[in-house]
Amino acid sequence: MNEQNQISAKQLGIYIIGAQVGVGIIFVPQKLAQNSGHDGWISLVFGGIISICAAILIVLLLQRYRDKSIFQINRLLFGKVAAVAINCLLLLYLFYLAFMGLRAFAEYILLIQGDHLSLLAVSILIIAPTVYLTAKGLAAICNFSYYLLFFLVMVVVLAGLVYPIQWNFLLPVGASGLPPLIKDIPICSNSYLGFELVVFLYPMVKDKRRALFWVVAANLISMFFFVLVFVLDVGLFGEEMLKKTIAPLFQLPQFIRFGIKERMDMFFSLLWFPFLESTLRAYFYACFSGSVNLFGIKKIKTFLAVFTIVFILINLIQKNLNQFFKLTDFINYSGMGVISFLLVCYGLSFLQERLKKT
Amino acid sequence: MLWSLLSSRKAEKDVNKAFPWLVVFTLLSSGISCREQRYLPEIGIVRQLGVEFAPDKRLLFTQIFSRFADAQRCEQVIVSKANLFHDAWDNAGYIAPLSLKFGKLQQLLVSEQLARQDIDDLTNFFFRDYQKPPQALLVIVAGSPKKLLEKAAGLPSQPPAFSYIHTLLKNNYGRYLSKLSLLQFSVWKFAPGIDPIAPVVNWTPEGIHLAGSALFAGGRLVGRIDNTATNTLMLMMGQLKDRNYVLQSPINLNPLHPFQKVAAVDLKTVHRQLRFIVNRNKPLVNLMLKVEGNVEEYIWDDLDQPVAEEKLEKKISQALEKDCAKLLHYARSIGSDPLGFGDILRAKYYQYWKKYKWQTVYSQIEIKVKVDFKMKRYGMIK
Repeated sequence: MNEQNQISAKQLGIYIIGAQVGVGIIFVPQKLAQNSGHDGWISLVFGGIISICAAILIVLLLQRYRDKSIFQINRLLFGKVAAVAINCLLLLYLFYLAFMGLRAFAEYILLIQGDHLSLLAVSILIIAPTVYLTAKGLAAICNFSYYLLFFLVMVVVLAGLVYPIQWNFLLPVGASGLPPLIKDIPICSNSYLGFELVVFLYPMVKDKRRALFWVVAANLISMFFFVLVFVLDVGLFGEEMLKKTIAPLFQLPQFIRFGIKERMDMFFSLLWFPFLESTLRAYFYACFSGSVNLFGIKKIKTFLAVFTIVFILINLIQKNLNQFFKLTDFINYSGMGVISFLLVCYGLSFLQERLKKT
Repeated sequence: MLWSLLSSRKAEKDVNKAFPWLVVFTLLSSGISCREQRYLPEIGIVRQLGVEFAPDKRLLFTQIFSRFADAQRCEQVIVSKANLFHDAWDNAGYIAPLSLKFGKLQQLLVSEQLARQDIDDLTNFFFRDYQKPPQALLVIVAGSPKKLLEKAAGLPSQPPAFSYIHTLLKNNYGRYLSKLSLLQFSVWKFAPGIDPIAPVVNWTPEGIHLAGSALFAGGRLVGRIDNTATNTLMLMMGQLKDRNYVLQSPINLNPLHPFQKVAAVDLKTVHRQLRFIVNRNKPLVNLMLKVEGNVEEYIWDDLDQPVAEEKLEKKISQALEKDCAKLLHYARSIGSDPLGFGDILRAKYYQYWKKYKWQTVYSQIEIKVKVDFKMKRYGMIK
């Protein structure tokens, strides 16, 4: 295997955090406030625990088939013909999430900077670093995500110390009752999507023994990050105002007035932009490398160029923003479908083993 | 580590390869941003915006903006009638010789008459577009914002009006005024059990005058307090810094003494303890304020002696307690809850909060205020 595409288990963890936190962190607080109100953080913790359990089972599945990705495992479990269909569906899922990552990022730029900008130009600018890093390989993507993550965690933690948070807005704990909290768990599970990428990258991990530890650690860090941002949002906006806000994360800096340097809030909002790209980057690479492996493509650079052009053109088809937001609801179902499928695969792997023995 | 990564030969090769990409990327991004570039002398930056009722039931918008083209006249006032902010902005565009930008708006001046209606729907203009500043400060004008802005712009002895208003308010935030941005106003307007307060200014022949604070209930102005009461309110909020407090009532002075004010103390620190309990379905608030301050002005007395010290401390504590009680009585009579007692009740006794209507409970609630003033220093004389 190409050395550029080999990563350590720690780098795998960083990759997963990037995929999980990226775009979800903008949508989730407002969506949670609609149902669970200020108690949304409880759903986030529950959702995080569920995603950790699912991630453990998925890594255990991979450990049963060493050095094999889900594409090869499907072939062993379902046979050649069915595996092709399933693998194509999995690629479609990756493509869909990468597309959503790009479009969400582009829409937020247009929302903040004004829609006089062209969607095509913004899309090209967004995707350019991703394409460059994809050409450089998985290790380059992980290294880039590593520095970015460290920097942005610092920004959020420092922001938490500076903001005039009203802790009363987070009380009383459990006021919303159990039903809304349970109802919100699927939304939270959606925000933790990203850990399933391990099934596509597992053969590229060098120290596979530590993969389980880092996948769990990545989920825990994402959970901490989500809860922190949700607490900041509720503590500043309050439950009622949060329900009416589309992108609270970008409005957080507006709570601080900068004396001489007016509108420094816009600069702080821009700091999030590279991080938002991490969802796109993670799914784009997984989809691209999956396609290369599955179809045995030799001319990788040409394929990357064609793949990118098709990707941008598809992004331009959907014009209506409201229709786009409706599409985001489908992420829940598709993500749950893929994770359920992976868990079924884990069960089938035992069944197949038994059948072989008998 | 980063340096070693960058200085390696491989990194050098990568940088060389990436260079053409970097050029394309920079040209593309600057090409997009250049479309929005404006020549500075062609821009007028709106600094203050006044809103009030017009006689024909529309709104009267007064915008004051700074200009860079002309050193002699660096500000201009434009008045327009409209139904919405956006209309007013458009109308101003028909008159102004410059392209007006709202991004650096410092204050939104709303007339008291208009603020007595719900102004929250008006301010949503500042939230929809990210480039409009929701951190602009809300200021209530007792009278007409148009008159205030026009008069301030015509004062030759003062700095430019936009700077004059801004500096006057900035110097007094935290002392006589409570700072309230449009964003914070909306947060408190929507939050149940806590109400915003905003500074009030008016126009006098001498210039702009700080006239206390406006108390809101939800998004509607319901009452006004003066500067001294604003001090007291901020003391109760635990936010007061360096407030000069003047004790009005005399201490064992000759009753024929011509002066009534006998002590001025500089309140340095305030520590607030707020206990909210519901006992047998009756809410009770205990507000304890521990205040420390320096004596700035007093009669010739021996303040190093415990008797004199205690006498002064007790008198100031009692006077502050009286001020607090008076203010709370007023706030409750108009249904405004700037201290957020309702928010505390919601957080601590949620079932009670759900069962009873807060506005009814607030007027009947028992509030006990205890102030404990301690003298820190008395200066160079006893």
